[in-house]
Amino acid sequence: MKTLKNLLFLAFVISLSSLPGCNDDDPEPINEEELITSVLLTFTPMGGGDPAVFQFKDPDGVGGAAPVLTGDTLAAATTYSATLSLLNESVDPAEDIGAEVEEEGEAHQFFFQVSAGLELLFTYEDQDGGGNPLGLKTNWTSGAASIGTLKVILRHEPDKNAAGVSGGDITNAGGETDVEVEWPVVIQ
Amino acid sequence: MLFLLIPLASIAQQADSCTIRVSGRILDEHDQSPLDFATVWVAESSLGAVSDSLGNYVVTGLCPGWHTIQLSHLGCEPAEIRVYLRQDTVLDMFLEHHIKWLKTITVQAQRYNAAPIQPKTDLSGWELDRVRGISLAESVQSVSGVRMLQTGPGVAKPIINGLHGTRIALFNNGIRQEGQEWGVDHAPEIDPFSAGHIQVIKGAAALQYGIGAMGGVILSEPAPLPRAPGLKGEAILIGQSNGRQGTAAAGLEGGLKKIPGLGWRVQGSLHRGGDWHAPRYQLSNTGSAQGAGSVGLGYQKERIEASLYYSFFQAEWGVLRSAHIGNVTDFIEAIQRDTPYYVYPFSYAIDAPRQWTRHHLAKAEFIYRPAKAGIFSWVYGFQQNARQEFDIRRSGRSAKPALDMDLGTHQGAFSWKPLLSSSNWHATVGVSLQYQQNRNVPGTGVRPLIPWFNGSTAGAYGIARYTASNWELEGGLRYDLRELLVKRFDPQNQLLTERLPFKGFSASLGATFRPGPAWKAILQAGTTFRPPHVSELFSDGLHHAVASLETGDPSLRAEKAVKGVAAIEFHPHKSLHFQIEGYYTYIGDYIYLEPQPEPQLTIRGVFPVFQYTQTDAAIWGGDFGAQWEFLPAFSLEMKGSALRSGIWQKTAP
Repeated sequence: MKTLKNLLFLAFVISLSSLPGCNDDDPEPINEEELITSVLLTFTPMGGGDPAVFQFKDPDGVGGAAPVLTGDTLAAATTYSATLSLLNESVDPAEDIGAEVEEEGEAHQFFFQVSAGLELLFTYEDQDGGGNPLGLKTNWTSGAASIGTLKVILRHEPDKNAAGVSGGDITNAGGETDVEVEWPVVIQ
Repeated sequence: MLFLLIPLASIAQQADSCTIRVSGRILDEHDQSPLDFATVWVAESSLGAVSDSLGNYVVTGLCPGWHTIQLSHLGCEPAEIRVYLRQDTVLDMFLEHHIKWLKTITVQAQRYNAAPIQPKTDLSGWELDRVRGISLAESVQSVSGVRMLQTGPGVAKPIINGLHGTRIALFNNGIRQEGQEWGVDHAPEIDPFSAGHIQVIKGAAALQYGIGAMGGVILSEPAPLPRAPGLKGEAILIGQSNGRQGTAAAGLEGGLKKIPGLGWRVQGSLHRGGDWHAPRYQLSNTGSAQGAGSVGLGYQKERIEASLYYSFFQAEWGVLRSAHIGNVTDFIEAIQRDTPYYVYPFSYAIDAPRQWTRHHLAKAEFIYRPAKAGIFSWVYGFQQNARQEFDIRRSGRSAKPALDMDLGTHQGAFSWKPLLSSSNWHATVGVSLQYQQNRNVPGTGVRPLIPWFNGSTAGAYGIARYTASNWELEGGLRYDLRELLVKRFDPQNQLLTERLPFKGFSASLGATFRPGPAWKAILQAGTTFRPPHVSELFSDGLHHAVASLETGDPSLRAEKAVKGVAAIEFHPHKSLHFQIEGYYTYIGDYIYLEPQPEPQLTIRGVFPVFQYTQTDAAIWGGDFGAQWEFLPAFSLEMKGSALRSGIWQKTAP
């Protein structure tokens, strides 16, 4: 009899513990809010002509399919005005992350690194609210025919007042890297 | 620099010297009438007492440790019990007198906890007092062979014989702690101030504590609730110069005169700390805030014991600002820097990146000791663990958690220690059930690291022990079933549902020899298994803290471990104590992160890729400890540990 009572009590405890088990809800899908899937750098010749477009596209984000890198060719001894565009194309319509960066201009800066041998020079053509460079708009001047790479880095919360940073030198910038993309470039 | 505790009342339980007092009553089992002229004899200390006309006895001057208490009374056969003493103890003993003066004697003792035959170390009394104000992991580091994995000034996890996280088990007042312990930067949500006693068990397969704890078990137990009427309290204040930290803790306990056997305790602690500093600079954003408390209520009579317990733990920790990185370049740059990039003046502020956690534990326990059937016990525990992690994000999202998880766990356990006809034999049989659900709180705007899952575990075990005068033998077997139900989304946001079953046996065999009063040897071997954790099965993405991509493997099998331990304790004089242990752990299908040859290109640059995979591994080593109390209250301690590990044999992929 006692054993029966004990067993009943045990059954009670078990039933108590399994009560919330009926809860068979399904999780909600979560869309990455800060995902950047595409970086486009468009060089427009100041003297007129077809723009050159450098693209990096990874529509499914980290993991999954490999990103697609598309380089382009620049003309020698030419001046270009370039615009950077950052998009989240995993949602429809695509989200303009570039606008988000521009809004928080003081907490962001793009850095451009040209490999040794590639004859390409740039200047920042835009400013954040504090008068420091941002890098969504830039001007470029190409030299003689050459081959190399161009790397674009977006830093979040850099110290824009550190030595060299406003001139485009990343060494003392600090902060976190949000974007780091490198394209092959041919000047001919 | 650590400056001092201010005890306001009674930290009198100085367990180090031989000042323990055992007192109580010797009563007739049937009508609770006192038995006079019963002899109580503590064999090891050659101390004894005779009960008075009310059955009261007192033995003082006992050392902490195991004691054999012999009881004799006119017309009864002498009886013996073994008890582990760590503080003043009230021990009421019942002698069973049958009308015809049969030769059966039952001895029942309060607080006799048949700990498994495995090497173990206890921290209580002043050993605990001197580590007050630091985390649980840091507190147990004083045990040889126990280290900690620290990822921030206040964030540390214990490591036992080289294993941590889901490979060890932490128990808070008898309930297995269930938090997000898979994360290397997730500290256990236990307030060391709630513990009156912490025990570290280093053997494998302590069967009553469930599966998976191949490294060992840490038991954090509150002091026993008071039985006698009266009020007792303690308050502790701790200050620490590094981080300008302050901790306050207080506890109050008592019993009721009107209801004998009813005891209660209320206890709590508060902590606040600012940025720590290294010798040359401030470690910005390493502040912490913590609050914890517990309430216990218990009722004890000769045959029943019932208790309710609730505890609460909440903490917020800042993560070093300069340790926040975006990609491999940042990671290398951060490591190579002479001084961290972000060094701000001292502050108590805790900004992103930071983590926040809250843990509730509620427990009900009932113990019933019928006259001839042994001891029955039922335990039910509920835990709710919430964890939020905040990252540095764009557009004001830093105030929104990037990781927001809610883990609820129900545990039920039943055990029976039957009363066996031979006093040399002890046995325990039990069943345990666990149901767990992990939910990701929506609204993070970040794909969750750990998917939605429900875990159900059921286990049953039996343990038998044979006790002779100078040796003991213990063996046990356990069987467990676990099922995981996982719901997650593929990259196209299609819901995938998977059921993963795991099952297996655990077994343990141990022996203790006491060749003489100064010597004790323990030999123990055990095998257990650990089902893979959801994080190992389904991780997929960027691990921000170390700038690597980690990929789980849903086809992982359970780990199977075999651990053997040999330990010798030598206690030649009451002021000298030596212990040495050796162990060998073999883990079949050991789960680890294997670096992959091909790095992966992402929009943040190139990242190394790590894949969860399995191999057969072995960990072996030894621990050594020596204590010499050269003057009363002064002692010298020495500890040493050595550990090696390697791949046993790589399994085919």
